[in-house]
Amino acid sequence: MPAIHEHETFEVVRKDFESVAREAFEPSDDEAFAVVEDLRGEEMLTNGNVTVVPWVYRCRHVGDFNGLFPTQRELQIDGVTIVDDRGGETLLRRYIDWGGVIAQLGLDVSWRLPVTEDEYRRAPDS
Amino acid sequence: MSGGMPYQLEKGPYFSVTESMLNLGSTPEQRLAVLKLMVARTPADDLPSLESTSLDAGPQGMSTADRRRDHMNEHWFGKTFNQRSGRWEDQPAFNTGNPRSTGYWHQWYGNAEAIVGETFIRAVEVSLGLDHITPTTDLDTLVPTRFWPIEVFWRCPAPWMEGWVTWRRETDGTGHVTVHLHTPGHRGSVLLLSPVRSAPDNARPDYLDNPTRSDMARGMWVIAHLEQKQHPFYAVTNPSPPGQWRLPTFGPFVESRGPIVTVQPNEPDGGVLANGRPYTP
Repeated sequence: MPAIHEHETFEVVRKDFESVAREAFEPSDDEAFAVVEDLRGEEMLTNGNVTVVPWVYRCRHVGDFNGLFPTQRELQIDGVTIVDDRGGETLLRRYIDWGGVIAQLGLDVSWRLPVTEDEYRRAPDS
Repeated sequence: MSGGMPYQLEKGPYFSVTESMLNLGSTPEQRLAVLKLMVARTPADDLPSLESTSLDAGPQGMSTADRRRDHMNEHWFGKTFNQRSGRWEDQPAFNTGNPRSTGYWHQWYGNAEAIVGETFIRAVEVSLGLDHITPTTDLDTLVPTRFWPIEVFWRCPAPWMEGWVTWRRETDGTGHVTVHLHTPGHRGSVLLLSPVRSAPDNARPDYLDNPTRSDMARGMWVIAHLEQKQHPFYAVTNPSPPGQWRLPTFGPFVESRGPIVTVQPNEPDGGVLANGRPYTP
């Protein structure tokens, strides 16, 4: 059995991610998309029908991502894609660390939860 | 500091009293005396405002001057009271390995006391027509050339703390100064999804839905859609064929909907009383 990064499933996952994200996040080099390093030598995480691909994507923020100013920052996007071939059509589930992307871009949150009047009344006086 | 702060902009009882204190006696000399205290870096506990008895009926747990000063020192300035020395101590230096917020602010570290102090020093200087005081300034030679009213607002949330001093001089020489304190969100704070309050808050002074008169001395109105509806962001984990997904949005999308309403918030929610709240030393 080939190592995961040598398997065609990896190419499906890579193309799936880059087809959507590449415009905003330009790959840093030809090997920007890779299986996480400590799994390179391992066998594929699969039962034959469902395959799990944990990956990293090293890139630069150059394009439109939610209308943010393109920072040109180098960053790393981590993710896991589950490739499901049980049916007639390949389906992918993408668990991507967008929280990490947001943090690397320097976005913050207001920390003030919008609440309804009823929720507000249930909260203790701060 | 009004407790709940359900709106994004606030004056409330504390800054109403601060304004009143700065206008106490209606003389520039009185305000100049306060300025000299601030320039001398008088401990915040010893500056006038929070000891005002007109604040004793304020938010729960803030009914004494000591409680209010504790709140200022601990929550706003991040100080810790040393029981042994009986003094407030400054926060520790920032630690990148274990970052801790200043006071009760979210995700922000800085010298809040210095920002607030410098903001009010600058505001009073502008209001009195004085050049900025430097360490070489002889305070005894200061002569105010005007006495503009000072208004104070607190805006929250902001990514970090800032004080703003703005002013406007009219052609007849009158004018006013407006102080804006922008702070990060604080622990436990929320925002109401609708500016319209229901009972009993809509009965507190001086709450009004659709206020029409502006003949009172003070006023704060908020204009917004009746309702802000949050829509959850697109779930990128839904299974889909290769290439058929899209980048996520950040948190929910807010849809403001319903009629545009104008609300005059009550004072505990950050609004103002029709004649302000007096400073009562």
